[in-house]
Amino acid sequence: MKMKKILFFLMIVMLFGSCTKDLNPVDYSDINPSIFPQSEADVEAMVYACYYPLRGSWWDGINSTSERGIMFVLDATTEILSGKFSVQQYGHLLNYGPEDEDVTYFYDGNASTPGSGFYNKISRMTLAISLIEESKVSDEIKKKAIAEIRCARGMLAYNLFDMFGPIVIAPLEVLQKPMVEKPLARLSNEEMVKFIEDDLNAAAADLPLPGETEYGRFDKGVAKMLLIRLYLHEKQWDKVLSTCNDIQGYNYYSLVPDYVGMWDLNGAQNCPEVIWAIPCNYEGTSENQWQLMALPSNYAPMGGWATVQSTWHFYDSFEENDVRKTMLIAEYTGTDGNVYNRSNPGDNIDLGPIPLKINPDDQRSTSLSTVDIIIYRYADVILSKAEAIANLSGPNQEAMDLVNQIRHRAGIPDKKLADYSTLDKFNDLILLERSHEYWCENGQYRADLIRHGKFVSRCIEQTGSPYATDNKVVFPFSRRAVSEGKGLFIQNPGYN
Amino acid sequence: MVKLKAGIDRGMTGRWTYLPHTTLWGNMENGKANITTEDKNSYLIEGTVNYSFNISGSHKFNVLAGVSEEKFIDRYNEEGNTGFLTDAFLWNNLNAGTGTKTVKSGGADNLMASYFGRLNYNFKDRYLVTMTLRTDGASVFARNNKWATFPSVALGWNVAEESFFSGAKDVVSQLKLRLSYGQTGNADIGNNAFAAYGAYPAYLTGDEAKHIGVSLSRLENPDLKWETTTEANFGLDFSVFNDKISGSFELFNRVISDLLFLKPINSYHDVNYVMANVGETQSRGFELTITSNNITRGDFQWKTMFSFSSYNDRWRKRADDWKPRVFENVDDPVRAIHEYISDGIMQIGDVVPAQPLLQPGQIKIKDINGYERDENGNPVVDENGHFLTTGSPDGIIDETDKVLLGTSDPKLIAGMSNMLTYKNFSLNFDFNGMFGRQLVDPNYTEYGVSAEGIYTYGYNALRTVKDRWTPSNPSTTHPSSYYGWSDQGAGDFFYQNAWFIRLQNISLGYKLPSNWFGKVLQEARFHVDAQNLFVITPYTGVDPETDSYTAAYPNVRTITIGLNVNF
Repeated sequence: MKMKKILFFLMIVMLFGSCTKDLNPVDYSDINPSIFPQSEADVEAMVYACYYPLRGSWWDGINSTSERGIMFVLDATTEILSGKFSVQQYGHLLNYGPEDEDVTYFYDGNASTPGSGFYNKISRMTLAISLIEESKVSDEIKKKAIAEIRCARGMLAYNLFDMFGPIVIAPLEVLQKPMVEKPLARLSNEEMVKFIEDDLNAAAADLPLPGETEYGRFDKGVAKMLLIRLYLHEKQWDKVLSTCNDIQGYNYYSLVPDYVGMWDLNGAQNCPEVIWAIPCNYEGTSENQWQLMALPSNYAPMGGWATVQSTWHFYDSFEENDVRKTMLIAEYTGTDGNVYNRSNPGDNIDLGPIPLKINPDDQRSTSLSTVDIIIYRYADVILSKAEAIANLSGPNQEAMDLVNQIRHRAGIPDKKLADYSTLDKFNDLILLERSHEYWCENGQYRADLIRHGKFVSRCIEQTGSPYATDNKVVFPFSRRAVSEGKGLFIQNPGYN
Repeated sequence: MVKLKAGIDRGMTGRWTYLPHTTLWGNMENGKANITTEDKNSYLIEGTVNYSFNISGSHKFNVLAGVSEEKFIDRYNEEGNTGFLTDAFLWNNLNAGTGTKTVKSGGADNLMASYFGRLNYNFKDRYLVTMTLRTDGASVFARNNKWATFPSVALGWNVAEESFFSGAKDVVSQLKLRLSYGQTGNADIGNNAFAAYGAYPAYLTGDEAKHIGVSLSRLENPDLKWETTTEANFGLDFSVFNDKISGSFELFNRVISDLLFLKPINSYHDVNYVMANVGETQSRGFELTITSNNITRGDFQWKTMFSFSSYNDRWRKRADDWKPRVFENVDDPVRAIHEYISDGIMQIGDVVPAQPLLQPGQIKIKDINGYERDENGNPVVDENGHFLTTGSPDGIIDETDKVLLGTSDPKLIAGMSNMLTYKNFSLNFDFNGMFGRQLVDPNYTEYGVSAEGIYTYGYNALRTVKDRWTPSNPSTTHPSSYYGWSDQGAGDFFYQNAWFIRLQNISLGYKLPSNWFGKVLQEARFHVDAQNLFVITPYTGVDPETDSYTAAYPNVRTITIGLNVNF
């Protein structure tokens, strides 16, 4: 009988226990959403999270100076970069398809890494804007934070638009209900351009003037520079021209005499030519690893992995005495004492010279460098303006003067307008000049070639690749992106 | 009987590493020290009440009721530094480094609680019944489904004990039927199902100051529930002909429903995976073991044991928003292999219309299916958003041409052991094998086809490289160096049958007669053993069992000669 009493007692305990027991987990490394965001510091932290995908990082920064960054992949589809394996090889032959995660990565990441990729970071920014709008901080803080995030969103959206064509932009209502299944279609070209343009215009209106914000942060100049890119992409020459004039109207930027010096250890900071650069250091919250990628292992005093080379074709397109050519290393003495050059290239410069557009940074002790990553420079405004003028009103002296400003700084003689009197000739001149001026910076030469209809033909001329077909001007989306679109998401042509 | 149990399970993992200047990496970083410690502790408290009673003597009952609570406390921290003056500090003077510092930590608390009961019933050891019921709660789940209840029942019938069986007792000494059906729960989701923001270093200023960024790191799934395994088991234990042949047979059907898995949601979400219940799988199979005393005659004994097992794991249900690739089916095997069907090596002069970019020496793929397309040529979907196929060739090789080739699970696993003894001699030998499986030889595809590695880097390669397709050696069995450059790859071209029978072990022993050494030794035994003496298989790679990646370490062949002496 005693047993039964105990049993009864226990049952009562259990009954009460199950009603009152609340099982709550605690993860001390997380922040509970019910208490965030509250303060200015919280808002600031959300802004930094929007800079995060735009920094340099092999893991998850789109401006990584590795095969996981846009500059590397985009320049590898042109004569600027080539290699013997991976995307620097097959990308160079325009041989990519929906299975090649090296290119689809930029859109929706690696299938094996949850949350990777970049187009979903646009959604992070959309949600951040909404959270900040609803937060209780002052309007002034809101305005500045939202302007920065819209600049970040415009930048990311433009970069992906440039690579893939129009993409999926998820509306806020959809993002607020993540557990509701909702396949989305890509925007139309017109909608895509408007989305980017609206963001960048809003950002340009509210961001501080150049020089009035911290180095590395967005200002009006960055937003306007991106608008120039967008308008070039769309060949809206009048808008290219007016935006270039806007930037010049800030009276802040100028060409610096020392081209090479901009990539010195501290070259970018306080440089009046730099519109936007990403601060980097050895510890690598933001990473620059270009020396590691480009330098051969037998390069003294500090080598790298020799993953990538330029091409001799590109090297030969430079004029003699062009200072920009000096950063293409065509001869070096290896740690083995041998001299490597074009006639004795070894394994490291047989495709082309070493594309060392950076201080070798002998002091680096890890794979990372302290040299900052320069993304946009004022020189781009000058050549963009020249292109816009020529395409609006035909080549004229004003346009040629702008080109010659760039050539003059590079230490090469002026060109005469009479030799480039047709638009085709002038455009060819600009295209060549752009490749020489901006190689290994942000990969824009691919867009330049596409804009002038030379992307595929150039590849066939130089490599004879059978894979160079007209559809390669945009990258493929992964099969996963197509599957989850459930028929609404249309793959780019030729990749089905 | 009342029992109170308390337990502590303490797990501490520590790693103390130092890369000295004498290593390549250590030299680059001027010495690199790191300390990582992980504390995983759980505290259990459990109370049970147990009560046994009889009804009319032969109906025995045993009742148990209990309650338990377990708390999990996990802590993690890591610190490190680089740039050391001397290697002598190792990891013991982290502050003395001038280089890159690492500081990380994390921690989580979780709770699980259970109420459970069990009833045992035994009638003369003939009929056995066990029933259990438990209700489990886990803190990791979000608000709606923290608790779940899992019942089970097991029945046993000792047929040989029945009175009507007494006449057959000489032939059948044991015959027992077992039947069970039950559910168990699983709440292992790694973390928890609540939304959270993560904080991490996100931005570096020009003055090299780090700023912390905060963004969503986990989504809440309020409907997440326990994963339930429902298993039905039928068992038979028998022993017949004076225990000459005995064995057991198990038939099982295991259904795992509400599978817990990190499910991809639409990839446009910043956090595009969420812990979710993603469907249902089924595993069906059997296990049979038989022991046979073949011969027992005087000094000679021969005993053989056989074991066979086979299972079939399939999907039964998928998540509502499952986003299959076009070749995937709802009921595919869990470890399915989908591949193109290869159609030989393209030769010079061949025209392969479905693969216009294919080069001679690459592998042709069979065109067997195609997308249903709308007037613009874009693939169309059914009402679930799954792509439709026509079932007939469309002149394009795409994913629709992939088929379900099979599964990476073997169809049958079997083993046989033999034990022979004659006077002082003993001989044991064991075979094992797996049947119904296919494999690609990873060493061949990596080092045996393409000469590209030799050309570019001076890599070594297998001799088969010499047989590869070249314009002057139009091979039909070994493709060219550039076979991998084809957009569609090799399909099933390299798959081989990989069943095998291995002589796992053979051992011959001789026990020295005890009169040889009198009372000095108790026993002395001389033996020769061999492991992995031979494998019978059609597979051409190194080892059909271990070749799951390039240059995997194969089963070794060992021969041992030994003398065991007991004093």
